[in-house]
Formats: sequence, structure tokens, C-alpha cells
Amino acid sequence: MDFSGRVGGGRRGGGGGHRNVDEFGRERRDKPHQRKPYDRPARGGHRGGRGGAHAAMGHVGPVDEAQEIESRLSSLIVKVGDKNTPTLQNNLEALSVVLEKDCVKHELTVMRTFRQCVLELPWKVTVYSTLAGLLNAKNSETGEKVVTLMHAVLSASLNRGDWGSVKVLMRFFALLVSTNTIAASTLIAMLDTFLAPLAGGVKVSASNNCYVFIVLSTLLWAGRSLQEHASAELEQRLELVSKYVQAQVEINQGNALSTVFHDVPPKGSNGLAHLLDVVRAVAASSWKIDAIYAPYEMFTAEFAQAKQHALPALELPAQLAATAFYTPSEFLQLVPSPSDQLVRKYVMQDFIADTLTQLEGNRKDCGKCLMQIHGLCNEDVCSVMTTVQHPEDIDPESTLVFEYMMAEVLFSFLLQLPEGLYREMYYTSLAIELRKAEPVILANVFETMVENIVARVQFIDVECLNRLSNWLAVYISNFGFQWDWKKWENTASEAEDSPKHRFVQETLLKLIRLSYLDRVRAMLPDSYASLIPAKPPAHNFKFTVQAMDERTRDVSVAMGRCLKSKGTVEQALAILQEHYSQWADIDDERRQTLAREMLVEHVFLLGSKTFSHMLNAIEKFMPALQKFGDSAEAKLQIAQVTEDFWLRNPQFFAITIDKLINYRVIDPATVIAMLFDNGHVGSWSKFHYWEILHNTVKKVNMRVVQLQGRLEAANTAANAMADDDVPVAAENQTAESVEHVEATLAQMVQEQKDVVVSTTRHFARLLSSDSGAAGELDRAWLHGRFKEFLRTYRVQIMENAPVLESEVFTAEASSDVRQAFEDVRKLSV
Amino acid sequence: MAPATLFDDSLLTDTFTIVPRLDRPSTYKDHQYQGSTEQWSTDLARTTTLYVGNLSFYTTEEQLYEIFSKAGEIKRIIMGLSRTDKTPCGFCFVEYYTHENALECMKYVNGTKLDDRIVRTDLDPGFKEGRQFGRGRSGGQVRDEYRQEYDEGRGGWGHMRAKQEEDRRIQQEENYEAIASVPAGAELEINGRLGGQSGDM
Repeated sequence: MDFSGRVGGGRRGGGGGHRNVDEFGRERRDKPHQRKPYDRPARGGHRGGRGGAHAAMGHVGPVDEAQEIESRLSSLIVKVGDKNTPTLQNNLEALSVVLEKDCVKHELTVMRTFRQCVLELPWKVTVYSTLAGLLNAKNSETGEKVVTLMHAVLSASLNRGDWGSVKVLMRFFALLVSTNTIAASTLIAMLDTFLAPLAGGVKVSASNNCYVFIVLSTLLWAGRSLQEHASAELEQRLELVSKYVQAQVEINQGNALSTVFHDVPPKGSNGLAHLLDVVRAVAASSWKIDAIYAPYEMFTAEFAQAKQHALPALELPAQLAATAFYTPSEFLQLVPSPSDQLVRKYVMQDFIADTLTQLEGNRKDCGKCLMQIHGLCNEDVCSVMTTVQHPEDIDPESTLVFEYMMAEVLFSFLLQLPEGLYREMYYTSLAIELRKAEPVILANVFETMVENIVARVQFIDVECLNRLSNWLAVYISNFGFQWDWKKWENTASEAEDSPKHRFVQETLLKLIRLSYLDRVRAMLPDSYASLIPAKPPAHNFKFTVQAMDERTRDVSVAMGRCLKSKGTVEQALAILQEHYSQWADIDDERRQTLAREMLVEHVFLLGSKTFSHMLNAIEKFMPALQKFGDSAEAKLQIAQVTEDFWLRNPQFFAITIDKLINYRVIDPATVIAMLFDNGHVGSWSKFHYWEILHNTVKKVNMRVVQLQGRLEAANTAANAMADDDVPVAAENQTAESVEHVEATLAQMVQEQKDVVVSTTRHFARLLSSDSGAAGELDRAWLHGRFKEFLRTYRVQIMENAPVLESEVFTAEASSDVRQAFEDVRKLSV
Repeated sequence: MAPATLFDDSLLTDTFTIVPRLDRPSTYKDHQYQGSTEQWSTDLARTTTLYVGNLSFYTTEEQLYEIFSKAGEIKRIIMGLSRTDKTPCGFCFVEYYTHENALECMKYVNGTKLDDRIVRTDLDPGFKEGRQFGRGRSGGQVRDEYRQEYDEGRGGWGHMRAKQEEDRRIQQEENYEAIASVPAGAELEINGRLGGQSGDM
């Protein structure tokens, strides 16, 4: 229904298109379910829906009309080539005519839409490179504008170290050779920029891994035209990168620190080597990629007369940390796939991965786009699941299955080593969106993925298993806690620290944290009873649980009363003093120890209700806690009391430790001493100890980074002041503050060093001693956590390599401990 | 560098995207905010705080902590309370240590479920004393005042609807008198088509 002609607000005559307004002439609100991913009324970067973007809608006149034309133009550019249809060729031709005509008038809109299409819809690169080629063939000025803009965007991305965009843009430029918009030699020059660091000889490094990866990705798509126009140059570049990959493989082959699954002979885990295989396979079939429709092949005649544009030289980023480079890694094979479809599978998964990267800012639309990627596929390239099919009706070994490929990429990202590109939660919430869009199909697909991973659970890297557990708990909690628990029913009968038992149990504990015990228990078969706690998580207050003598009870009662009735720090301290000073039979130190325990237990009891209560209690009694935490031993005691108090609530244990560090009641060093206590031998499989370790180390690292930022700011301010003529007093003040920040930073860097060295020392000590772990399984967990620690903090480890080498990784250390250090060294080249 | 004259320089700096980012503030503005619209925007551009809505009254701080710490370390959580009885009334503020974490939360946590309910988050200029209390007439949130649907996680009916339902119950109780014996109902064979044995089919 369209009332716009009858009732006020509608535009008279003209246009003819139905406008989406209601009877009052107001813009109709979007219904999300009718929206395509990038279909939205708003322009100019606003969020869809109401909002200011359509403020001009009420006006009638040229502004309105221009806006409508522009929004139609952009929508045409965005939507062209969504699907591989017979009309696509004509559509592209028609669109290029329209754009060529309107480009002058609506240049900004056209250009920025085109720019974003290339960046945000990477799987349609063949479409947009063709469109650019057609524009160029029709009007070389327009063509030049497009090409130079995209080149400037590429330069900026490169400068920022935005590798996702660099990769996507380089692929676009690769295809511009096919559309005769740039010369083969121009592309070769661009590739040579990335290869320049190899000029003096092949040297494996994080930055070169990244550069070679981009070159190979580009060659995959550029090969066909380069072979035609610059085959000698192509061969040379290919030879150079092959040499590099070989060197890289020699160094990193079988590196246990970057291997997700240890069950396969270590062919996997090397993204570069795999990509080189793919490129060679494409080369062997005369560089033809048949996975998706390549419209530029239809316009050879048009392109023949086009003008090629020269481009300025690219520049590599000057100062980027080794960790700021993209680490190539392979897509994990989690479902069988036809072995003769290497190239097609890579091409599809590469598009899926690029989309995941480029649309990270909006997981909802990213999910919708992902489901459309197969739209441009040529016939018979991959099958797409349907709801009426039974999952077992599709044989993934005889055909590529789109949903499996997509899920494999998602899990490869989740399990990526040495670390993922984004927070784990991205992959969780993206999976949730995907399943919401295709409830039946993707529920099955994700279940298959998880089951296939869990089937290899004894071979999986410990950190990856931890990530999968986190993923699964949030995923399940988003779908009514439904999961086919029956399939893992034998778990309870396995050893408690077997990988599977621990994985299932930790996942259940996470589920309980996200909801509550009864909710989770209700979902589980009876055989799971031993895997979950019998009672809801609670504190373990010492002075009610344990039998105590009369005088202890007296103190406890007095303290309880005082704290409950909002007593002050001084009052609490007075009570402790008053009671314990009368205990003549024990020495001062012992009295102090007892008083410390009494205080900490009662403060925690006061704060045991909620997280906020805990913060309040610690905040209020901070002076007393700090006073009692006056030595390393005293701090360790506080940490141990914390563990004991929260014995049956690991979440609160972790939170409380975290906050005690924040309030400087205990140090990071305290936490490390507490965690690696011999009392924990036999419990290395438990996830929460390592959650606490990482919270702590990350906090220290974060403080260093923050202080570095502050120092920079202070320096800038000081310099600015020195430049101006400011009174001497003010200048001194700034100088002091720079000094102050410098001193704090130095202290923090020392702390960081201590944390890294002492943690490594503890790991090595336990792993090199027979009593460091209770059996094979316990030791395997500890060793897995050691690897996790080394690779996560490899920068800090390498900074302290000399000390570690001379003091920790000595001949006395067990061989697998020393091997892990070798591995982290290779990983950090 | 390309000659700057070829294309408009703004094309290298604008933040236009086809797919809207999720880490942008919504159009909502707290009507009790004491500041200009620009101030509101500058506050949001560096805030570390999120307003979180559509929670169940029974959701605990620890559950919130668990899911929200997926986006970064949490500084504090302020539970939204009913003004009258000081119990949770379905919203809260989550404060991170960094602005980036708040944005990541918008991207990855907003719109996922907690306690079987979709969590809604929005960037917020920061907690001020007093904002922890509901602003509805009955002490809770305004939305629960007028809500027409029954929502078990948020105390059943909306307050106004609850009052209507309660009135109905009282009225029913007052007017209805239970009977002692159940009537059998008259046996009629006038219209066989409506259930009798005889008659045509």
C-alpha cells in the first residue's frame, strides 16, 4: 500500500518509484527481518532506523531529489553482482553507463560507496574490478580517479598496518591488470615493494611472513594476466617467495607452539606453505580460478582500448612492532573435504576469512553477508545445505559444502595460534548470529564441528581447548542451554584430569557461571551428576566451618559484630589488637598471622554477597589490609586465605584476587607464588588457576603500556612548554611529572620482568621435577599451560631471554622445557 | 602520493561504511542528562561505561561479570534498583577500564543472551549518583510501568497491567459465588446435527 500520493508529505508526480512512507508521510521504520545486510535507508555512516540521516526527507525540492538519486546510485553499486546470474554481465554494463554519466554530479557518493564495496564486500572483488575496468574504458578520467583513490586507500591501510584491507585491496589491483586499468608492470612494482626486504637475502621475520603472504595472495589472482604480459617477472617473483617459504618452513616446521592439533603429521599450521601449494596448483592449471564468476572475461573487447594508469610507489610502514604484523595461518580441516578441490576450497575460505575480518565491526551483518558469499560461485563449485536435507545426506567428501567451509574458517579463527585476530567473544557472537539466521542448518553444523574437535581432544593444544570451552558455554547459553549431552555421556567415567573430562566439566562450570546451578542441572542426564557441584557456589568462611577454641570464637564474634554494624577500620583493628595481645602463649609473628587471617576472612564475609559488596568491603578495609600485608609472606597468606575462602566459588576467587591487586593489597608476585604452590600439584588441569595467571600478567603488561602512553604525553607537554615562554616554575612542574612517570614506568618494567622470569622459573621447576605434577595427565596440562604462557608473552620472554637462558633453561631443565623455549625463539624471529 | 586534485580529500578521511558499525552510540539520549547535545556526544566518544537493559530481575552481578568480562576487565557494576524496595529492577551500568573495551562490548556482547534474555547495551556518559534507581511511578523502570505482556523475568505483568489484573481478581472474588453441585445440563434432541445421535450427517 502506498498512500504517499494522497496524503500530505508525499512528493507530487515525478520519480514514479514507490516511497516507503506511511500514511502520515513519515519514513516507515525498517523491519529488520526484511532488511538485506547492507540495505539501509541511512547514509553517511549513521546507524539505520530513525536518526538524522533522513532529516531532509520532509523537504521537497532539489536537495531531496539529489539525495534520492544518490541513495539509489549507492544501492545499485552495493547490490550489483550479489548473485551469479545470466543478467550480471548486462547489469554491470548498464551500471557503468549510469555511473559514468552521474559520476561528475554525484562523485563523492559514488566514490566512497565504491571504495567501501571493495573493502567491505571482498568476495565480490571480480565484480568491482570489472566495474572499475568498465568505467575506465568508458572514461579514462573517471577510471583514473577510481584507481588513484583506491591506491591512496591502500597506502593509508599499509601505513596503519591494517593487513586485512591491504590484502583485499591488493587482490583488487591484481584484477585491475585483467581489466587493463593498470599495466602488469605497475602491479609488479607494487609486489616488489613488499618483496624489497628480501633483496639482500632471504631473512625470515614476522614482517616478511606478512609481506610474502600478501604477495602470494595477490599472485593467486594476478597470475593469469601476469603470465600473459610479464611471465618472466612472474616466474622470478614466484621463485623468490618459494625460496622464502622454504626457509620459513624449515624454521617453523612442527613448532609445537603454533600447532592446534598434534595428531596429524605437522603439515598443517603453516599458512604460507599451504598458500604456496594453492598458488602452484593454480599455476599448473594455467592460472585459471574457476570457483567464482569472473565477469571481466566477458569484456575483453571493451578493455582492449582502455587507458592504463601509472601509480606512485607504495611505501612499507616504517615502525611497526613485530606483533603488529599479520601471522599467516592455515584453515583447520575439521570436516573431511574432497582432496582434489584444494584451490576452490582455498578461494572460498579465503573470501570467508576476509569477510570475517573486514566486517568485524558488525557481526550481525557480517553473518548475513557470509551466508551470501556462495552467490557468485560458478555452478557445481559447492553445495549449500537446505533445511529439508538431513545433514547426513550431504557427503562432504564428494562435494565442498559451503556451511562446513564457513564454520571451519570460524573455528580456525577461534583457535588461531599464537593468538587470534580478535577477542574470542567475536567468534562466539558471530556464530550465534549465524545460527539465528539458519537455526536448523547451522545448529547441526556447529554441533558437528564441536564434536569433531572433541573427538581429537587428546591431541588439541590446551589453550585452544580452553577457548573452545569458553565458546561453547556462551553459545549453549544463547540457545536455551540445549545441547546433545547424551553424546558425551561416558565422560564421567574417564579420569578426572583426562582432557575430555576436564573439557566437559569446565564447560559446565562456565555454564553455571552464566546462569545458575539448577538451570544447568535440569538440562543434564543423570550420569553428569558427578561433573557438577552438588551445591551452588558459596564461600567457605573459616570461623563457622571449623571447630575453634573459645578465645578464637570470641575474636570472631567481636569482629563479625563490628563489621556487620558498619564498624570502622580503626574499630576492627582495635578488636584484633585487644584480643590477640592477650594471647601470651604465642609469639608476635604468630599473633600477627592469626590476626591477619581473622581480618581477611571477616572482610571477605562482609563482601561475600555480590561483586559490588566485595569491592566495597575491600575498599573500606584497604588501609587495614595493606597494613597487614606488609611483607611478601604476609601477602601470600592473604592470597591463600582468599583461595580458601572461595574454595567452592572459583569465579569469586578470581575476581577477588584481581581486585586485591588493583587495590595494591597484594602484588602480581604474590599471585604467582600462590598459584605455583606445591599444594596445587595434581590440580594443574583446572582452568581457573590459569585464568588468574593471565589476568595478572595482562594487568602488568597493560600498566606498562599505559605508563608508556603517559610518559609520551608528559614528554609532549614538556616539549610544548619548553617551546613557549612559560614561567620557570610551571616548567619545573612538568619536568617533575616526566621524571615521576619515568620512575614509575621503570618500576613497572622491573615488575613485568620479575613476573615473566619468576613464572617461567616456576613452570620449569615443576616440569623438570618428578614431584612437580601428579602423573602424566597432570604434567601434560602443566606443559600445555607452559606453552600457552610462552607464546602469549613471547615478546616479554624474548626481552628477558639472556636471564632465562642462564638461569632457567639450563641443562638441568627437562628436554621438553628447553624445546618449548627453542620454539618460542623461532616463533619470535 | 597521488596528486590531491584528482579526488576529493575527504574520501581519505570520512568514516562512511556500507555496513553500519555496532560500536556507535544509538539515538537514545538520557532526558535527565545535564548538558548539551555536543557534550553528550563528546562524553560518549570516550566513555568507559555502558547502560545495560532488558535484564531479568533475578540476574546476579556475577552473571553479568561473567559475560561482560568477555570484552575486557570490569571496573565496577552498578545494579539498577527499584526506588521503593531497593531490589534489582532489570538494568545496570557496567564500567570498564578503557573506552576500547566498552566498544568491544557493543560489538560482541550487545544483543547476546543472558539468562535467556537478549541483553541490550548502549554507550553511556557515565554513572552519576541517583541513576541507579528506576524512574517509573512504581519505583522500577518506566518500561515496566506500561508493559502489556507478561514477563516472568521482570516481575510478571507491567505495573499498570498488574493493577488491572489485581482489580479483576478482587472483583471476581467478590462477585463470584461458588456453587455446591455441578448441574448436569438439559438433554435436548432438537438439532441432531449439533451432536445428537439422530438426524442427517
